[in-house]
Amino acid sequence: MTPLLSVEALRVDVARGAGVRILEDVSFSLSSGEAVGVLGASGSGKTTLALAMLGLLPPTLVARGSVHFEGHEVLSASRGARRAVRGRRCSIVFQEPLTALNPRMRVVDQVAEVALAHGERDGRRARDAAVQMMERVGLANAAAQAARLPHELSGGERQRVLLAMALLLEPALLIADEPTSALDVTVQAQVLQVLRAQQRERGMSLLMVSHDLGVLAVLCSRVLVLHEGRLVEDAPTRQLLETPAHPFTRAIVAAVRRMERPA
Amino acid sequence: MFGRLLSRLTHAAAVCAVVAVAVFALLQSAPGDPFALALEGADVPAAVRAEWRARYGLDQPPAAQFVRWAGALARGDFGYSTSRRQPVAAVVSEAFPRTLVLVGTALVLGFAAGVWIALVQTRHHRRWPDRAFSMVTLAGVALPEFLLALLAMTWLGARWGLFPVAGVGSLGDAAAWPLWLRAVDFLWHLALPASVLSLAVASRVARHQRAALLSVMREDYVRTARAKGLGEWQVIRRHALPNAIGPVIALLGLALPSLVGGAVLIERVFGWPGMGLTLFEALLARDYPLVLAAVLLATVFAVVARTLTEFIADVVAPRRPQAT
Repeated sequence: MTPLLSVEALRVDVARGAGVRILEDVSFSLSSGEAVGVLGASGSGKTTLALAMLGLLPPTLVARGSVHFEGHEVLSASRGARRAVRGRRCSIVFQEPLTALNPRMRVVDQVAEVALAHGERDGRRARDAAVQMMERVGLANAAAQAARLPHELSGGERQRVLLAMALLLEPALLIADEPTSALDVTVQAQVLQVLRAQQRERGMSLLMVSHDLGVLAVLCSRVLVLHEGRLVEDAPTRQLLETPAHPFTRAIVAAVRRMERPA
Repeated sequence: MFGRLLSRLTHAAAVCAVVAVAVFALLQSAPGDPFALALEGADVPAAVRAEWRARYGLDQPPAAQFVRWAGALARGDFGYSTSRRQPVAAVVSEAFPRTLVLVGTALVLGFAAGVWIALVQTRHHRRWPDRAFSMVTLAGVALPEFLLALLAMTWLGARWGLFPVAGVGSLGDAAAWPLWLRAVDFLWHLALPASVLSLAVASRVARHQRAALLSVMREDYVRTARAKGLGEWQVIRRHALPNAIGPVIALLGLALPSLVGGAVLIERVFGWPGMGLTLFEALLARDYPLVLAAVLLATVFAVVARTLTEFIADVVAPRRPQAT
């Protein structure tokens, strides 16, 4: 069976920064229904990797290699072809739930916009679907919250709005870029739960990017370790925790263990 | 809301009062008076001069003249124009609407065109449409308006004869034309001065709007909008523009006084008998009441327009509390 997403020899360079390479020769694949984590310190290229999957890299970055999603090449695709995939077959949830939302648009309109961008013509139906999805991802009192502006919601609520936006059209793949790092621990746990439920119920694939091994261990069956732009390890989560191969991974696992069992 | 409106109105009234005193003082300290030209010849007896000046109160000390003028103004009497030989109110009520139409047209057209140009530039950032419009708007900002006016007048008006070069309407039997024809005639005369003024407004608006849009395009929510699968135009129109247009509207309010100032030159060049031309001629003739009324009216206009744009900017793009 061909994988849902396969990345081969992906390299990302700064367009005019002679020789500044952000990602070096990254290859991995992800099958349908699988949840894969990408672990890396800040500056390791995690977010760049996430953006490259959707062809969302800023014009200052140049990607080479190949990103295959559902049988189509992403990097060389036309604008229109990329647009048709974004938000419908492959969605992304960003790190900062406040800045990722338009401060001057009601949240319901921001969620409904995904449907309207992909062929829905009836604005009311799109908004109804948006409210339903916000309820499903656990936004309390969704019908009332819907008409609010982002700054009127809490951080956890805003992250749920972003989740609802990403899940509205039931994509085959959800990319989550540090979806919980800006949230406090209890809200973090709730959001992870929603992600897991959505992934299990619908057989959606998940590519989750984080610097937090604990968060990845909860959701992902496999973890890729990104270190200074290179993929240094690709192993099932359990194996990674028990017998980490790369020195960087070993250091992280050891650090997590120390925190779990204080001397 | 009403508290703020009240404080703005108080502020506006204070500005007008200061301007009135300042202009009065400047006029008094300048050499000559309304009868300098008409009466200073050797053949006019001193007694006649004194009698005319006494009739208009010009023999009194400046402070007394000011009190007299302000008192009349408070009763709604703008005084009598010595150069036009009719009440100031009559002169102004004829000229002011013409300026309002000219500046208003320039403002609306210029703003719409400026925003549209900035949208196109943002859409094609760093490609040829962006560069080409940047050159045009730079020229529009840098070139003096009177130069553009003279160019337009020479080529479009005189050489190619597409538009009339001066005035607000055709002469001759035009007064007998039906209303619609006179309206068309008026617009035809309006075209050149309004276009030149619009070009100046559009250039300034476009440059500011482009900068504001490009800075907003780096925001995270713009990336979110792209991740939804929206097209670039939709991303710019729906997500970038609403977050970038507020400061430009406010800026327009600040630029209004200079727009009225620019209209003086345009009116002079195109012989558009609005407030600018009236003021210009009144100054040459030392027509104190008319100058005072014109300057005061321009001040009121600028202050009101600014308050209004601040209000509109508030409604279109309400200030939101800072994120916590």
